[in-house]
Amino acid sequence: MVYARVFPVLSAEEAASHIPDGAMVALSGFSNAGTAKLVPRAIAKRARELHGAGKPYKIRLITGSSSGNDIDEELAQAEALSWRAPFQSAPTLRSQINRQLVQYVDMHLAHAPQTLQAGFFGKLDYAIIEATDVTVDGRVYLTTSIGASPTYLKNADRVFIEINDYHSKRLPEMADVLLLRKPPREDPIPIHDPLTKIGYPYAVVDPKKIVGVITTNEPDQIKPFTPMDWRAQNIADNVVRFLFGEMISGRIPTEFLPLQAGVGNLANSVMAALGSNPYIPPFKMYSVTFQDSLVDLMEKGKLVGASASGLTLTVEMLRHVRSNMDFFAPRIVLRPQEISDDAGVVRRLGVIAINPAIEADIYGNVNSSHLFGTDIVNGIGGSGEFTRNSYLSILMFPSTAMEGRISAIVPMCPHIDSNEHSVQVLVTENGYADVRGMGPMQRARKIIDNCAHPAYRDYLNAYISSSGPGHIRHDLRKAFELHRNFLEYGKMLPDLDLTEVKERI
Amino acid sequence: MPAIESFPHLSPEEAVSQIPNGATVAFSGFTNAGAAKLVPRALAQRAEELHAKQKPFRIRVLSGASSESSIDEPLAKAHAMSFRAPYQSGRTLRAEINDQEVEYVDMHLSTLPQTVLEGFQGKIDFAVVEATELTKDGRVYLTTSIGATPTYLKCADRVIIELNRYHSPRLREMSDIFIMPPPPHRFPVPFHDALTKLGYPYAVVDPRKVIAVMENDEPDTVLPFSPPDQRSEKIAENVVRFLLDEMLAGRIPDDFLPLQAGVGNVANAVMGALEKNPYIPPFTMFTEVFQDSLVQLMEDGRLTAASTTSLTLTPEKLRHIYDNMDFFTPRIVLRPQEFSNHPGVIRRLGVISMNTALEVDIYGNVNASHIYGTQIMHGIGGSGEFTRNAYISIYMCPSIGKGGRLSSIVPMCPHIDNNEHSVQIIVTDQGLADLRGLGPMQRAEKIINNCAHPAYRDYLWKYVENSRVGHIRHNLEKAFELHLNLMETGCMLPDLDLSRIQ
Repeated sequence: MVYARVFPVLSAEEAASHIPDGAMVALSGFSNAGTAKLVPRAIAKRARELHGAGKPYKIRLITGSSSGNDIDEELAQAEALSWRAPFQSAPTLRSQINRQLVQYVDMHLAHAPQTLQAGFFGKLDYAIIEATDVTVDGRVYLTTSIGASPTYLKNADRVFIEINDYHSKRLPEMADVLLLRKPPREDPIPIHDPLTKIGYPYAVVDPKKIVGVITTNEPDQIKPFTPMDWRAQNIADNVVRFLFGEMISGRIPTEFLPLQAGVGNLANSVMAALGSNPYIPPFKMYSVTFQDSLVDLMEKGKLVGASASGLTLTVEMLRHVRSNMDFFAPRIVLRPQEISDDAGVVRRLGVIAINPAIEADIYGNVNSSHLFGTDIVNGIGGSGEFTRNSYLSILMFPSTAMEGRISAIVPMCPHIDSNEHSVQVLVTENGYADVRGMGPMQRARKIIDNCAHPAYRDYLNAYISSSGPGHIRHDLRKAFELHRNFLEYGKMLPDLDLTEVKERI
Repeated sequence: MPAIESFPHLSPEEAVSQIPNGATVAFSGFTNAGAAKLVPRALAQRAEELHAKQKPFRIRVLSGASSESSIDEPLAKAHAMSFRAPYQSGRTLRAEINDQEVEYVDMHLSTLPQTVLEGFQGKIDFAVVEATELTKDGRVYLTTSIGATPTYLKCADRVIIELNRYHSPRLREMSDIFIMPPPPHRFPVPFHDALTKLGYPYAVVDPRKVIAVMENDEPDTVLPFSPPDQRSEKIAENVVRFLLDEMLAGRIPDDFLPLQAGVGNVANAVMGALEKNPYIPPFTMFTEVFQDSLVQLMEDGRLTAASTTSLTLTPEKLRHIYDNMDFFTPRIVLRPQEFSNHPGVIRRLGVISMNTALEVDIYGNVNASHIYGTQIMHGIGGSGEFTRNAYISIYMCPSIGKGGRLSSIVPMCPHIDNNEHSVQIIVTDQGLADLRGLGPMQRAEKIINNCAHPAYRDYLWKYVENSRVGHIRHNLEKAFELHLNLMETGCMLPDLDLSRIQ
């Protein structure tokens, strides 16, 4: 390859040896898609060696979103992280964050690149970016995600490129890279449709900043989804029923509106259910990740176009896409997260946002990130920007967890990621609550009756009747009684007969 | 008023006799600016008469934002409202909302017109709109606010127009009116700066829908602000120092960024401090309300341009503008609230937002609307859309209230309008906490040390220390102890020596 004549080809260990303790490091990657692999692993190894020798070694790490098990997990296990932004989803890292060993800044994803570029995070020392190719004049062809890599390439002092030969050289046909200037930006982002392209197939870096190139041949590690259980099926059916009703009543045009779906099993199930419903017309997506279930929908002609920031596909699915690039390349656009999640574009296109949540309170506030208000699960990710700016915002989750020990409908959420002012529709396996145009007490009625598990409805109704009057009724003494019960007794309602609940789970 | 002959000329009483119990009525007005005046008053009177005869009469009310003395208070006093959106103010209405007599939907202001257009709010039976002129073919020249009026004129079944001769007919030179088509066929909002215009100087109505026109000659009721107190001035000083530091550090460009300022005394104090500071360059505003303090700033050349949805000015200041329209019209654009508060435009222009909070928790979540999480004050208004999309989002509040009986920095907010993911800077009279790039515990340290009143710092530290360890430390048993103390004893810390605070 031509790059080898210009840029030093390094081993991952050589590259990692450049990176000192305390450095601020950015990795490519949006979820595990397109994440740098070799150098982060070598950084973890280096951390272990240095710690073994009694020396300190921790870096500050920023990526597109999470970098799942292989990267975040490995760096966390090596205790190599002191600070992390803007999202994460690895078990060891999560536990370190919850023990205050790692400082974690849980951010709106579209905001992360602008925040870095503005200098709000301080100086970016290194960027490690996975690519299919880099040219001598500094064009960097990214792989399965764009994420925040273009911003990191521009702002980092020094850059390592990991050339991954596993990925299709045709991925740049999907890429649409444009770096937004610093505000005030005079021109709107001219996206008229999920498939509009406005930029370049490559990101750009000053070639003088490239310290070295590392080569590899390794797929992204994406876990397959678990099969849908009946609750996911019910939730999916309720979402479809609601959307169909909106279309029939003319509040969604018959050509439909672009959809966004969050990450995970539930979102995957909803997309599959939408795809198999004959009355939902073919649609487009303006979303953040492109997941397994969408490949099938696209081939069936149900999903006609998709905008995303990452192809979060399992190895087989990615292989399938790779071998059918003539079909997929014109139907998928991969964008920087600053644009895939942009407030203005989401608002303009009238995106229908469908996101999972941990719990919701009876007034429609949603907790997507912190158990008991204290323990981080993953983070807010893109759910806030889509929920806040969408045409229709839907939040969904099973009504109970841990075999009925936890109710996902509670009097008050101890952490609020999307609030009552932005949340419009809540869906559980029991039904949906459309709370548009309703005051708080009317919302509470709908949410308890339609979404809460029947075993918890009496408690929730009693909470309201024993609360003082107000625009929103709350009893600040008992607002977190359910959460406290769970922490103390392992059950939100200690006297609840779980066998009764289980029958319905 | 050449066109008035083409439309039924009715008295307010005649017009409201056509509005039945249970109707949904949308009024013009964003604050008291440009609010309908005659019809709400007549409706209140009609409600009182009907109630005296034991007949029910309540309507569902929409407007741009709140309109305290023109709409909210008269109708609330007559118990004439069953539903109110998207914002409100006024003591009587607030009490009725908190007693659950009136259903209130507290909404982001820029999304309101879209939800009306798409039928999410149900059918709009009547629109009542203040205008300077109505033409035969249905052009409606609005007065001191645009708000959601163009959408109401489009969607309402029937329309009543109040022609107000008090206002300058030249207001149309400031107006820039456009209704976005429904998604997904919208184009990008082509604003390049605060002054870009994309639309028309008038709103449009199907003239067949106009059932009544009436005339009026009454100014908007806008009260002057009280002079800033010591705490507000301290807050303003802290804000200005921060903005200067950001500029020196290169994080705000030398030509500055557009500012948004919320409504009220603290915001007013900040504008005053900006005016006095010689190092702040001339700037523009992209905001929702144009208030008294901006008039002088504009005449001094400090404020070069402003985009807003309302001219919320006291009668003298408004008169001053009307007497100097050659100067002001090229410098002010009045837009529908869908555009004045548009998330995409706010993000792109890099607006610096400055809003006022009721209270802030130690992790940076903000309560801007509900005392104790239950009692509504006003609502979220535009603060959410500006804070969420700003380049730099600033929240301001005095560190204590009620002579120290209340701390504005609390362990947990019982209602959250803007959360830790969107709030970047907290300012009180004590100092400023810059939360950008910090994890929750680092944020807590900054907020307690820099922003909380010294008398409350020990308590807040102890709360953190006695809390469950996690990414965010909380003790769900004590999270609202301060609020409960205040409710029960009238003081958040019953043992606090208040004399030391004064």
